[in-house]
Amino acid sequence: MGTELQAVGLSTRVFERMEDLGHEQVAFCHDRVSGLKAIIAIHDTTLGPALGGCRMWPYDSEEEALVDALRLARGMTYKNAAMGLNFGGGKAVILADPRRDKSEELFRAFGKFVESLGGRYITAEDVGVSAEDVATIAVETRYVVGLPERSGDPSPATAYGVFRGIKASLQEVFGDESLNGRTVAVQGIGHVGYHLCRYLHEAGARLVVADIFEDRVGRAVEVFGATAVPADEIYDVECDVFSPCALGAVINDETLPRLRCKIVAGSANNQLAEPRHGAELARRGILYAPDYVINGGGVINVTEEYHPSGYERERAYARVAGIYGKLLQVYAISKRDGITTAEAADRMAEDRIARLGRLKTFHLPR
Amino acid sequence: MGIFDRMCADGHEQLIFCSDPAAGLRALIGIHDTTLGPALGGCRMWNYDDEAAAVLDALRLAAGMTAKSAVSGCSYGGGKAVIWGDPKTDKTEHLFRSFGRFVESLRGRFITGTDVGTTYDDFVWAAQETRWLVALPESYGGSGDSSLITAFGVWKGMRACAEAVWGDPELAGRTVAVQGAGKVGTHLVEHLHSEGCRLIVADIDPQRVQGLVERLGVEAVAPDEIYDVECDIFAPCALGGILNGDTIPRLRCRVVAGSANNQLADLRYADLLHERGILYAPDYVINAGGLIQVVDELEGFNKERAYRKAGAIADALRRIFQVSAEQGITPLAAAEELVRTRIDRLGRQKRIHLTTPREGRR
Repeated sequence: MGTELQAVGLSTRVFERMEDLGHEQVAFCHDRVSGLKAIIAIHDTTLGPALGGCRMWPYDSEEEALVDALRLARGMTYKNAAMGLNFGGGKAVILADPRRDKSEELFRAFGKFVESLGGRYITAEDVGVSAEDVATIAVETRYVVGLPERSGDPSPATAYGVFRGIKASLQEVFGDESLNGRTVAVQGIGHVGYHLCRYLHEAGARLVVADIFEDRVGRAVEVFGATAVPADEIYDVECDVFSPCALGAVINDETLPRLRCKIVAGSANNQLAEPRHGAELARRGILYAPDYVINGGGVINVTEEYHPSGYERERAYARVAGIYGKLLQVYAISKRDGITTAEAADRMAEDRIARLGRLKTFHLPR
Repeated sequence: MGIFDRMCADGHEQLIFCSDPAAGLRALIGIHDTTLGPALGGCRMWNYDDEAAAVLDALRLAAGMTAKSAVSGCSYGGGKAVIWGDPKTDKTEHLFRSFGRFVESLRGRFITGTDVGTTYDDFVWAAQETRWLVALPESYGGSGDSSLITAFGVWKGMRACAEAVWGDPELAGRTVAVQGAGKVGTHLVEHLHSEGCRLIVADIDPQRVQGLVERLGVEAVAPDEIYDVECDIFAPCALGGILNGDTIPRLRCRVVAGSANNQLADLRYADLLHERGILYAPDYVINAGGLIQVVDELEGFNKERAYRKAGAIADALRRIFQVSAEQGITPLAAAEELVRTRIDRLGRQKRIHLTTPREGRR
């Protein structure tokens, strides 16, 4: 407890960041035995307990991890609100290398910390954390979704939501939701991209695909009759829909002038490099399906685990299909208020939080 | 140097930032070690210069509570909350209720109450939002003011010190220099007076001292002169950090035993006291009476039982002095060893599995 030594060099800026973005709570969690270092960020719980995945990443610094956790938690608030779910936004990050540092005790220690928040944060898998890891976390806490024996892998549900979102966007642009004869350029044929190609192919779309992994491309060509292009040429493809299903920030100053599509609608997170790129898409007459709305199928699917009669795939997918209506709503707000579709999605989410937050003022005896 | 570095160095489990701009709330809840039970510790309100100072205070104080609880035989872990704000100007119902909700969010993993800068009334507000509070006013079902039992524990602890140094716990005829005539200091003076001590008292508020001079016939000295008084026992009952390189050479006592928190400006001053042949009763051991009372409150307050447990502070000190003598280490080092041993042993015991209600349902 040598206080004089401790003060040296510690400089933090947590409250300031929380206040800038409106976060309620940030928990730094440490376990000596497993070496766990985790940050759990809770953004806004107006709509219900904070729900968001747990990411494992070898961050260069604590600050980088904190900023990531705060940003992702806030994103979950908007996604959950836009999807009409009764969950707030949260996210956890484990500061470790998923290739080297995984252990049973680490994930169980993390589970204990999730449990310690009494259900205010519900965790799930995310980058670097597998379904098996989630099962280990679940030994210690009830507050976890996406277990293999329940809703399982969320990717097919995400893909189905994107498929429905593409149809809504076609309806908006062409007054016809049919994919028959439409060309869709899919960037990234990973878990989600592959399932999306299947839906699109079955609906009669012509597919152009690109991926940094050759085997994935080959499979799409073989199974869906897709046309392959080199990874960097996917932006130049003449198509109806460009569907980014891989990296973030793919809509940027460099790629924008190259796009020859009517619609951008894909599953990737944070597709816009900056908010102004949303306005630039609109200026070019390209309809942008806001990423966190169109890719919300996964979170809708996992929250179905909370249905009183348990998870049921058919019911979950019926709910995921509702992304179609959510997007039409976003497009209507965009036109009504003269704002970009990305701004319209934010407005829809914020409005819902504000309206339902007021409802919480009603007192009901516990 | 980051937050995790600090947490790793001292073995902290959790540090929780709680923010509610509408309520003006910036609060930190530090949880050090919950091996022995839920983290228990007061809530301080202080106008820190920067966030790092608040973080360090929360972590340091939480670790201190682990040690205090463990050495006093309490089945609670160590925690502490700090509210970053000015206690003179920033207190509102809104702020303390918001804080209460964050305490509630931990579902009893952290239990709190008053500390520097907060009062019972603040927690009457917080109690609207959370059950996990202690030391509420008696009118709200709490055990009330804990300064009486703290003074009682210091008095009993002082007798253990006398026994260790002079082979006799009786304090009659001993000279005790008491620094600080606040609530605890005054109650302590009353105990010592009734036992027949000669008392020398100093306080920055001359009126407080004057009251004791008139009522009990104590001798008064100026605040800075209390260190130079020739006495048997020096009892710091006011500020922290008063045992330092400047004051220790001036001390003319055989025992330092008082209620103040963080008496040592730095841990190494425990060695200096030891070298000078002065027996130091580790502050967090001898001043644990207040903690013992709130722990008793959590079990359904029974005053007689609480005082019995506070009296056992003397037993804890006897063990500490014994370990210190046997191993040739300072009483502070001995206390730390007892803390570690108790946490390790009871932690290992937790390996014995007991079926939880959750498992029963499967």
